[in-house]
Amino acid sequence: MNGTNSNNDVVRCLQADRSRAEDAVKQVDDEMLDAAIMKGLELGRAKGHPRRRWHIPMWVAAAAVCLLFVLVFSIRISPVFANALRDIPGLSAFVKLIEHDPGLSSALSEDYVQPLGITQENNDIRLTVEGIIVDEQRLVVLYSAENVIENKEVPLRTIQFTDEKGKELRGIISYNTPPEYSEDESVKSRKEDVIDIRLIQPDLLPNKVKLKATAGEASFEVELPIDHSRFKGLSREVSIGKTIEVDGQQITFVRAKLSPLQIRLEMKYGAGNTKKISGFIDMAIEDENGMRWRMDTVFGSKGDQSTEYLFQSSYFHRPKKLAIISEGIYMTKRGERLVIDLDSEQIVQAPDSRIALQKVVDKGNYKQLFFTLSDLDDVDIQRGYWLTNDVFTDGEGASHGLYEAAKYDPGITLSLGSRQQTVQIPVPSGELPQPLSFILDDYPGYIRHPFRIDLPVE
Amino acid sequence: MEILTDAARLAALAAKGDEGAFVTLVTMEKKRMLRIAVSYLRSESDALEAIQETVCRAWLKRRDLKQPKFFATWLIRILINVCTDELRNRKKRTVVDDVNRYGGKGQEQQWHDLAGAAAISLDMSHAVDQLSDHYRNVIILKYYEDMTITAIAELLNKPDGTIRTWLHKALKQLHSFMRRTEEVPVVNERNELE
Repeated sequence: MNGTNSNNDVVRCLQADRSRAEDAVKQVDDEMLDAAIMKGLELGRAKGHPRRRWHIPMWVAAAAVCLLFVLVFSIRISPVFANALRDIPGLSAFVKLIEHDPGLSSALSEDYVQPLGITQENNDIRLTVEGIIVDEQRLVVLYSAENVIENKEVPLRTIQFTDEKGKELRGIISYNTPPEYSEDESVKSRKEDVIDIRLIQPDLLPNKVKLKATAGEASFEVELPIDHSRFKGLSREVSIGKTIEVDGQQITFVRAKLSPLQIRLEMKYGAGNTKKISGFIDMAIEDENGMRWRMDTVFGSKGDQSTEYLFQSSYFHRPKKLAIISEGIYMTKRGERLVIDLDSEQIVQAPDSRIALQKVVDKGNYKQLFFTLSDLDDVDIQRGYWLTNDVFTDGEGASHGLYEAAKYDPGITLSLGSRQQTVQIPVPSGELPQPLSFILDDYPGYIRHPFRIDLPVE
Repeated sequence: MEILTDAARLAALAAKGDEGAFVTLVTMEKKRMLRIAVSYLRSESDALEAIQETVCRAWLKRRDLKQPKFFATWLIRILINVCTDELRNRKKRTVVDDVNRYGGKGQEQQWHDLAGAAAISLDMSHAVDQLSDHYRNVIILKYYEDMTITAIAELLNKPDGTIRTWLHKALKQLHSFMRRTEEVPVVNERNELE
């Protein structure tokens, strides 16, 4: 057989294969394609900002999901500080990485860093933990990781923190966007990155923390000694004990804990509240000069009676006065239901006409229900709504859980240029008696009610 | 002075961060992106994910777009990188079962229904998968996307001659792959081709 013939045979087979591919292309409709494009843009926008990725353990209640939509406002640190730090080898890159958090930035500029310089090499990857910024409930790891052969950065993944005995620390871990996605040329080539863990109340950091992570093909386990003497006695708890009533709903500001790296505010909601409080509009801590520190993390509890809001820290600014400020409250009426009939793909019952069932996609093990929320206003669109969280009942009243594996997928997308959000809800496959009824525990709705509550500092 | 076409004008706007212009341009290329992604990844859902990732990367790198008139080329280049990354990642994962592999994620779609003539296609797509990145690129662009040598050369930023060489070598490799698998008599049709 000569070369041309053999090529012809190959080409014929390629053509057969190509027609298979073309059939597959036909399975994808325009809508799916457009959704992928919009989702890509949304991701791009999110990564372009100094926003962070969140690793949210399953046990953190749904309140944490809204974190993704908390805007990270950056109050720039003074350029003098930043420039001084750039001269310190190894630390300069970190200034940029933490500048979205003015509390951390000031900690760094005030020399509140515990230098470590621990290096490990494994499978051609070198990991160096340059230092940590730490207080009793928050740990920020400044590290660099690179492939020594290719001279290229390798960000750490599958990150886990444990104590000396291997017990996992309970908290929210966040880490940065991989550098390749950065718009900033100087960041693109960096090998440095930051991992941040905030512990849930009342856990405290042990004397030694193990950081377990993978980078490319290599896995690492680094023991980080926590120098407690650096922050011993620096945290203070102040009780507030103020209750406000908004739209008949009681909200009590119980206490606040101020530490070098965070301000934690504990709130309780009235047992008789007819609405579920799902967040606060533009909430921040403000000092006497109008300087603000944003709320950036929420720990919710299962029974949703109490919540802890975490703010950036004002500690190193040594404020004379502090106050909690907000423009109002996001709330969802209790007992509202969303009832849908999957056979006809129709909504049977909903609180209002802002919600629509866009489509149902069969994913094999589960069905992904795509809902759209439209006509959202400027305040509504500041957060994402997960609609429902746990269980639903079928037409015969049997209760089912959402499809676990897909439950924590980032299910909420915001559409470009419109006041619309798409929310995905995964329900298990199988013949279920219709209609399906979901309890709505997070639905757009808010009350404008600006308030200011003093936080005793002295 | 260069007169900008509509697309080039849009691309210039997109590079500056105009989301509307960016989306318009990407949408113009969406069918082509889908065809290419499916040719590489053999799964609709993976292809959609690749497109999503491509749009994300393109948005983040929009300022790197030096010549607006090449927006489409630039976008497809990103897509090819995304698909290649995904194929590499797949290889790293332990693949035990070829059927699953072509079935994409879960049981979403089984367009490689393993019966009769379909097997030839399966073998072929497997063979294309095994090619090195350069070879796979030229095969897909030429035989799945009907691009000319010149267009491929422009897209991959290589001289025409290099593309021709790659194409020749890729076909040769595919052929030897076919001969190797012949020893396993699963596909009658291929024997006829001999």
